[in-house]
Amino acid sequence: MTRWGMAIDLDRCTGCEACVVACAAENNIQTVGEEQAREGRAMHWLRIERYYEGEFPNVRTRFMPVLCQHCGAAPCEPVCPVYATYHNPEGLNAMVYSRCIGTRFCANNCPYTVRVFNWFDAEFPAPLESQLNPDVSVRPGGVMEKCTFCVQRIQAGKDEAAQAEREVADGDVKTACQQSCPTKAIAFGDLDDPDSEVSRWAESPRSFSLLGDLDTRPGVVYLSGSEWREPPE
Amino acid sequence: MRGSSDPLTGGAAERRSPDDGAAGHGGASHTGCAGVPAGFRRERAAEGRPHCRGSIGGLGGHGLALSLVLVAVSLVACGPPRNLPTPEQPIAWNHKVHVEAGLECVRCHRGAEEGVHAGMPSVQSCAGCHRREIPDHPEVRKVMLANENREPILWAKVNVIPDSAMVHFNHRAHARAGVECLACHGDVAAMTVAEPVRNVADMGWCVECHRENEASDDCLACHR
Amino acid sequence: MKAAGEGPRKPRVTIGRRDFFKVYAAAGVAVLQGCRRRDEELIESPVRRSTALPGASVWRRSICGQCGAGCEVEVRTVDRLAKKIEGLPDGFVNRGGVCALGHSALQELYHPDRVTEPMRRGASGELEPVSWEEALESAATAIAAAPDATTVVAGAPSGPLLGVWRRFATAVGAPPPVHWQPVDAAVEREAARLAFGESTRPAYDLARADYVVSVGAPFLDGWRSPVHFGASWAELTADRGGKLVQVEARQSLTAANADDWLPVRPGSEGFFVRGLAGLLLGSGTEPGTVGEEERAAYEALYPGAPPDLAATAERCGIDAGRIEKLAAELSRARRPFVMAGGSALEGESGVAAGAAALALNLLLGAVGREGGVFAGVDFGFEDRLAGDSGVAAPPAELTDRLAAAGESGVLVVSEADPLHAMPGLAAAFEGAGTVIALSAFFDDTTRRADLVLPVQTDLERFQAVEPDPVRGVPALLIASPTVAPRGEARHPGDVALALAAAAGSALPWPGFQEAVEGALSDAFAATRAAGDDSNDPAALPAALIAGALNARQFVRRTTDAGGLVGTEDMRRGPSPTPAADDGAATVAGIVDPASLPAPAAPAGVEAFTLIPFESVKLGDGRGANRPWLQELPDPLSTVMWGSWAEMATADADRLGIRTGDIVRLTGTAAEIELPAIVLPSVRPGSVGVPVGGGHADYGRYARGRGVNVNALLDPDRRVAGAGAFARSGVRVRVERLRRPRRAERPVIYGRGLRQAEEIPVGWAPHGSGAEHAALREAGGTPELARTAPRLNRTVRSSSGDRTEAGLVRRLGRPRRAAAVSPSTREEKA
Repeated sequence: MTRWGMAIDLDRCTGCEACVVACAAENNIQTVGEEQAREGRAMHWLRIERYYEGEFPNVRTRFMPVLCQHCGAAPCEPVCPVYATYHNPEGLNAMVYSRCIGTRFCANNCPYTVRVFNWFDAEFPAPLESQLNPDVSVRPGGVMEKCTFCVQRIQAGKDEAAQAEREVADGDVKTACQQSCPTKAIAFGDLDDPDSEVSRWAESPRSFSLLGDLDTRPGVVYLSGSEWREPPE
Repeated sequence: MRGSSDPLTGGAAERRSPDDGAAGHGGASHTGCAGVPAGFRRERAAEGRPHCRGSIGGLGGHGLALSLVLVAVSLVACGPPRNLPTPEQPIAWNHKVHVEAGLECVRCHRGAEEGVHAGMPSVQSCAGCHRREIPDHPEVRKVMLANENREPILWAKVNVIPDSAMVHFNHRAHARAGVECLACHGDVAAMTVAEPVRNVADMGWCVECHRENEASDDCLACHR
Repeated sequence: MKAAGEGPRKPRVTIGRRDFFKVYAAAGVAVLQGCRRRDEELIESPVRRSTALPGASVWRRSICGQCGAGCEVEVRTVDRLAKKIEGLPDGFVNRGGVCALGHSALQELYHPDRVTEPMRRGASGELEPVSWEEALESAATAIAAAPDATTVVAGAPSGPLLGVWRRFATAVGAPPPVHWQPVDAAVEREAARLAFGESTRPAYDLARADYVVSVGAPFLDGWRSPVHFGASWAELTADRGGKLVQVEARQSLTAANADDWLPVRPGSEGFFVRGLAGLLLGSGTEPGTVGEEERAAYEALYPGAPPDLAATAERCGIDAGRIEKLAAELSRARRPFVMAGGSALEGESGVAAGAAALALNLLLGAVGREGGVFAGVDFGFEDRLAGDSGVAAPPAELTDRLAAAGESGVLVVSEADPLHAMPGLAAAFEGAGTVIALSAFFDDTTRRADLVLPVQTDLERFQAVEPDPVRGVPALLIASPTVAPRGEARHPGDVALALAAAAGSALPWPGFQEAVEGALSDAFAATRAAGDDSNDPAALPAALIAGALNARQFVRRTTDAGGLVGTEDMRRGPSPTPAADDGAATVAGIVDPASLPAPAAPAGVEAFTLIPFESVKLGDGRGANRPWLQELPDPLSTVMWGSWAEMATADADRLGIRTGDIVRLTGTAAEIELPAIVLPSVRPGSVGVPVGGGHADYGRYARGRGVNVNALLDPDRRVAGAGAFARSGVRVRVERLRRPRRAERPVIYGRGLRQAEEIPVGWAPHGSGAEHAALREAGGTPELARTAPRLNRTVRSSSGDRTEAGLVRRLGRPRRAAAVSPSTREEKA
């Protein structure tokens, strides 16, 4: 059985945010406008966290893309009263919009704060809506959303493979963020396949999981060498 | 369109009444999909049922933890399948005549087997044939006029899955699995005006067929 | 199930999905009655036949035109609409990558405020739609009335389109066009001419170097070719363990990713590199580390004694030990090189600094070496199309031309917004006679225009681009349009040719595509005539035409293949000695930055050095009209939707400024008010402000958003020797005004890692994943709530000033994400 997972090499990430825009373009993520963004209602499914270590002039800056970790033991799942979010057989933390009634319990329970709520119906003034990806629903106001690991691409990858009467191969499914990354800092694939790129990355001695103490068993693995080290003297 | 057609067996008698659904689950909105832990899932009655392929029967039964919202609501809205409203079309297009003339479904609905969407033929394609075939028929004139004016024709969908269901139906995946057109669309070849025979927005019916054919019953298979 | 509308609802939340229930439950009767005329219930028969299946994705190759880098992209189109832009996996420049700006070209294409029809200012003073014929005729009449006083401003990157504009200017009798280009481009060219004797922007072999010193070049931000440089940077540092050192006062995204950041005093970059050269050359007791040949080449340019370490440390305001360490690492490195750009080149002494920085490559033996510096060679298609027309002028010349032309002047502005991007033009514009704007938007310049000619955006047009020569390999990339143009928009090259024809001086081509094909055809003929071993500049490398029987076949083959791409063996170093013959005295214009006096601080005021910069959000301002980019948090400040002033922690503490406070920056002629963001990544005494905000127009998402930092700049301040206006280094006064009012607060991206102090009791993993199934079978009751550690540490988000080092270390602890086996769980319990 496939277990979809992602690995992000922080040593390759420059924080350029190409992935963030790629994600918005792929997943019909609405922009909420200046006022609502000021209220903390921006809808990004993927964000770049920036950390400073040390003080001027010996300051180090670190970037970390954070998205839904597709936890194996997800804190968001059990609190949903309507089973709108659940763990699917392939390791995705699924979000079923048409079930969601918008209690926002899940967002409250997510230690990674990657879930966002649609406070409004999305607006795409014509003809901006021409760009919308037909494979992804435009979420109405009142529902939660978050990174899906580009599930539409996963389904399309399976569909393509089935049409060609073969198995899904490593590399058939690329997430939007992975595909646009100029430095190739993201790998995606089947964590249960030991030969997949993502599995090989995950085996790296540099790998760790975010907030690993929480035992959420994320489907996203981060890689970093000595880069999160003490600032130079 | 394949020639043989099973009789349309699915009828009101075999379906639950809205009351059954409401009483059975007291308004709980979860369904029998993968997200629900096994303990919550009701076992289906193990009665034999017609296979989905080439048939649209077998929707009866009870005890399914199917989407009560959708089933109940759609029954309220649409009543039994035979009473599904047939939308008014801008042009009185006759499926029967075209099939009898030897056209297959995919001739016009080109994506029905190979594509995600079945699609509609272009106005140009219609006009291409009708330049020779009965160009003066009053309904054909409408098509020819649209072609001359370079205007698209807006048809009313006969089988509607509302956007709000957020379902992404894939025709070719179903064609690949051997599901025939008439399983969902009924024997369109016999219809003059296409009319709905199944409520395709009935999720319970979808899940039923998926399970019987061991297709994925994961929510993400359709909803995303 | 409750009916829609029942139960508590937040008044501001529109729960659209409930419309579904409304329709099917509450309004079910209406459904039965056949009132089903919503969009989702209609399906269209398109007019035209298509080979693609309905709803199927068709990928079309195009070339991104958002900057001059020339990334090759694939555009996903569905039913003839563009949906997504991806990098072409084997793209010449980008190898599959796309940047944020590149992705957003879709929102430029489908922007709700596009100009889609020609417009002319009528008697009422308002712009009114006219036909293309009328528009072209009016434009041609205006130009013909005053050809000498006509100035063409061409916003195209170097390449065929600029060539057409040069040809256009000559044909109508106007002086050569002003080439609208990045502020530091002309400076970099001049610096390269002085250091290497060849005035092309150099190519840098970042991927194969092992040690790179970048003097201000923000190559990961958006400079020249960020996607190419991003990939090369990853090869340099992550794959090969090389090192990047960034020298600049305000930490750019590039400096943020550098292994070392040397925050030298702004304007002292030139002095710094001369001091560095001094350490490499050796002085007095310390032996130098460079060879005699390199030393000679360098000293031919800079015969004077370099400043000593103490003077350098003093002048640049940086610890001497760090300079020594840098010099030592440089001399140990096997393939080091030095690059220069950005703010280091945008001050008044930018040329001197740039030349001194590039000249270090002579000392390091990096010129023409693998992992070093190469000449920025191209196939010369700009010149091939321009013929013998004059060379384009740098942007700063626009001010002078406008002043000279006065009321009779005619300004043809194509795809540029000088009124927004250049200080001090407003008055000159008011006085100008006729302004003709070729634009896709009503930007600051276009709204002032008398005639607006709508142009196609990247994906709608035929593209023929010579990419920025960052690889040192020449290329001409060609792509067909991927979608139909909106409205009546036309290709700017086609408009130029039509305009020339309307003015009675038609050029030999009916359209831009024919012009490019003609140039290809001529190049073929010249190559064929030159034979194998000619140095004829009109000839292409012979290998490129091999196999083509005739010019027509060559043109067809080239356009089908998406252009002409050179090979690595076409790389060459720029001429390693100056064009002059006898030493430094004859190198026209070279100035030893060490000989320049230190800029004096104006007395009596809190004088900060202003560093305008281009963020990855808005670039030079072009990105300001895209909601995706406006709402994109800047990676460093995390600000969305507006402008901000980056201030150093020490300064802020002294002035009592907190993040979010509104500050006033006062320059010589103007002042701006904007929120301050306090960061440890800015050199005290400097204030960084992103350019590209404060558009007077440019569509609903850009209009009035943020402030335009250019207002603070002095239009008469020029980069000596380069014809560019000096953007960096202006002195401004900074005052704290107030805590922000609600609507003034900077939009800071508020999310960051947050940990609940404790995990809510009662949660347990569930689901049908295989992992969980195994867990359950093994008897592991999912009761993690009891085993999850209690966490007392709270963590501030990245929007805060700093993150606790504790978190950083915690995150960094290697910990595999493998499934927890039952045995580990037992241990935990």
